[in-house]
Amino acid sequence: MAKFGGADAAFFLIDGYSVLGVVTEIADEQEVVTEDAKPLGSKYPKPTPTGDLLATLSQSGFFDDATDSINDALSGQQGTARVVNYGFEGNTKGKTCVGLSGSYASKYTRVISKGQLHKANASYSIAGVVERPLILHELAAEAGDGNTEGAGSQDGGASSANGGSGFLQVSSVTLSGRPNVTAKVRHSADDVTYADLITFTAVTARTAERKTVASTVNRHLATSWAWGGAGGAPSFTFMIAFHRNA
Amino acid sequence: MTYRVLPKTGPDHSIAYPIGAAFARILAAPAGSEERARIREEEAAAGGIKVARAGDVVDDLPQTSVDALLEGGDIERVVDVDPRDESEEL
Repeated sequence: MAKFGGADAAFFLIDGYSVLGVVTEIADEQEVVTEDAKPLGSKYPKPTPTGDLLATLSQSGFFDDATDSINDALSGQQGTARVVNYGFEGNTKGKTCVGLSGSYASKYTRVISKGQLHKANASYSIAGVVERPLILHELAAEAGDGNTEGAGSQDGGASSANGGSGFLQVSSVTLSGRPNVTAKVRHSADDVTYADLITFTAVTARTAERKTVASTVNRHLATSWAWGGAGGAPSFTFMIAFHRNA
Repeated sequence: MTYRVLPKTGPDHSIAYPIGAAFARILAAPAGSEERARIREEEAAAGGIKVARAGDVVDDLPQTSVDALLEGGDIERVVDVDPRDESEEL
């Protein structure tokens, strides 16, 4: 176990928009909804879980109208379900991050104050689940085909039987004449042979996707990416994480 | 034994496995160890890792990996038909 600070914030990605550079605070809350079941004749509250879960997320930071920055990411998209990932333990394989699906940045607030830089804040209503996926490929650029089946593979210690969720965030793509690039989560029972576990939708531009699998997830996890077509010098900047269901 | 790679995750489903001397080198290092990872990267660079895609029929899968791949629905056994059996039926 370790403590972390602001410098350990790894990334903040909203549908592939990488906005960590203008974010100053992230706050997430997960709440078990309770109802006070105190009956007549009782003096004290009796909060009782209803079985419902509630998650919220808010971010604060600087307003920036640069292409692909915070204003592009949030303005006019309050009704759009977003895939959000943020990491606070470092941008490193094997660290966990947070993955949200079905998140609506339902409130986007621009604050203009005398003597201060403009601010851009957002609060999210989360219709989907909140997960803590393991980073399998840190947010970084890769050129050409590749995989992390060697030094970058992650040993989960054991297989798990209940499937999981893969997150892909692509912040930029240079196709260089190629039609697309396909990223995958791969798994292995023996760290010898790796098989595809999740194949994400082929990527042609900035995007994000959460994809689930219901089958057994083997002990070792890795990623791979392969470009369609031939020639050129294609590259893309992406992050892949995977959450094992308990 | 011969196996066919199945389209488990889609038509592009693939498995990657070491062949020949690469398999022996990788298997000799402990699973999940830095040594195995290093050897795997060396072998990948040297062409010792084979990628088979959905529809491919392969007969060089590491036997240590076959059970998990069968259970996972990544491959199926290809039943060899003995030509003598066929001739008898004819």
